[in-house]
Amino acid sequence: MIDVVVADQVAIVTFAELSRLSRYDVSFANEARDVLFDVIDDDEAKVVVLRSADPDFCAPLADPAGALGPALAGLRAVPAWAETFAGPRSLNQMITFAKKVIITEVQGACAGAGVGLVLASDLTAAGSDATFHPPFADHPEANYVLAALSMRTHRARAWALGHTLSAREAEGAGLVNTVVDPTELGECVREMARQAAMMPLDGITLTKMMRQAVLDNQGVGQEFDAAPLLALSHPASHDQTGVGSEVQ
Amino acid sequence: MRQYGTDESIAAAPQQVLFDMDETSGIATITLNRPDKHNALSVPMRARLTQLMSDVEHDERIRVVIIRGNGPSFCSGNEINERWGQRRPHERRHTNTIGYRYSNEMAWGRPAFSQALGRSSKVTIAQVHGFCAAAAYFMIVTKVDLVVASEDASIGALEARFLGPAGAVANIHINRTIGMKAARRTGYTAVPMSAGEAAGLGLISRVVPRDELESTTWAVAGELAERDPATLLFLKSRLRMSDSLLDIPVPAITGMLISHFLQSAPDELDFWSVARDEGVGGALRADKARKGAIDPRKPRGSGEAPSPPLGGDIDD
Repeated sequence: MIDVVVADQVAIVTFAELSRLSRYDVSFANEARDVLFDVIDDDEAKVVVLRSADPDFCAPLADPAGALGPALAGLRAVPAWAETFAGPRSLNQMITFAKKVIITEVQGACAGAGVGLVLASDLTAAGSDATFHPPFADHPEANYVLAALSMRTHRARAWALGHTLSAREAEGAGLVNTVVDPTELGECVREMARQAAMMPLDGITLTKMMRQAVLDNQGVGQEFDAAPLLALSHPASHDQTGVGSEVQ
Repeated sequence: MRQYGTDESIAAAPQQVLFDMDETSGIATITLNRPDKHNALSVPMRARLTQLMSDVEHDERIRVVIIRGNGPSFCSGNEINERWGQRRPHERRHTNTIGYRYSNEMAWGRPAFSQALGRSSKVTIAQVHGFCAAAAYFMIVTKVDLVVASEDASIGALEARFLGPAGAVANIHINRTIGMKAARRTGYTAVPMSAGEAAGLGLISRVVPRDELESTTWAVAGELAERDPATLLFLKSRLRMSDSLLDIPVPAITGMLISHFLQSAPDELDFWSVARDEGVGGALRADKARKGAIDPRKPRGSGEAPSPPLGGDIDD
């Protein structure tokens, strides 16, 4: 379900059904994390491309709010949920703080947890058919500080409040670096990766180390750390058996 | 995920980092079990510790985690004679294979050891005796919630003597816990703190005689474990949020960058040559012979060496 090809210092990681992350599929999240951990640590890869095998990068769920409730399933499930989907070992944090350049290649719909991957990655290229759904209503692990840093702030806010962005709007908002015809997307990303792979590795990696310090100073880490509390306050967690009575 | 270490060190790790849980009390214990090396942490040991802390997050029965050590000391820090560990100054270039992997794990990488204890949703307590040096100081005891120590504890940045002070001085946890002046003192002189001094600085919650250490730690843990689990969970989440606002969990990037560029002078390289063959203790013995060299194993104000020598890398 996750394919990795490393060639010419570029690792291409292809996921099938990324929407499983939106459904809080623990097994898939752990598999993706393990694969990415090894890829980022691979001395043969200087750049990592994340893409989907499906027509949509990360298809929207029919009932996105319905996924979070079972995942939280009572107050005590929050630590396990946070550890897998929001904590330091989660995919979002692993990508955000990776020492290699990470590129996301987006076609079709990018919704739910898929948006988190776009926010966390360094560079994004999108097909002109792509749409970017706002993630914050149903994903407490989505990082608004990252959105505010990646995008033009007013446009980030409008998006966060519910507006789905077209590819061109996403480019105008700063969420996406470049928009091309869908038939040219793969080649565009490969060229982007090839350019990044020609950069001096030490310089890239040290720069990313310093960038992590900047991200932390800007509050990105704090936002990730807030996810458990955000999950506890999310409406989806309030109707679970025992939650209301336990928090006295 | 790929495992780093020799076949031997990977195979040994489960016996060198033990895990136990008392279901009645909700207290789990992680015991470092490499007494011949004063519980120096190899890469596989750190990986196991990280995994155990991750497993603990998924176990609702556990409310408190005690981390302790077998043998003469709590922990002497990271193993230095290890290919995937700290870059040794005789290694010409910091490459991804060696330096970045170590730094990723220790100071920079979010998935790694440096984050495992400080970000736990469980109450964490360190039970400290003997040496608590280097990474045990700046990665463990400053990141747990509470520290209970015996009177013979010696806590400090021993590694500063041969790696520089970054781990102690450029560490937000240490600065916020004991104050900037004291943090710099530990890093710029490498002289460790006695248990009394550390308690006075706020690093240690309770200091007791050695024969009362375990019972006292369990009493402290038991008191916390009896609290309402939902309330405890909320409070830990609340504290973690506050720590974030204070930047306390931020990995020590500055320290790592400094370490990356560290270039040792010729006489400092001698330390590494000796350490490779005779361990840190042997290298410190040779270091003592240098005029003016301070023994970083003797804490200030203790008057005596922290514990009777039993062998292992950092003993006299």
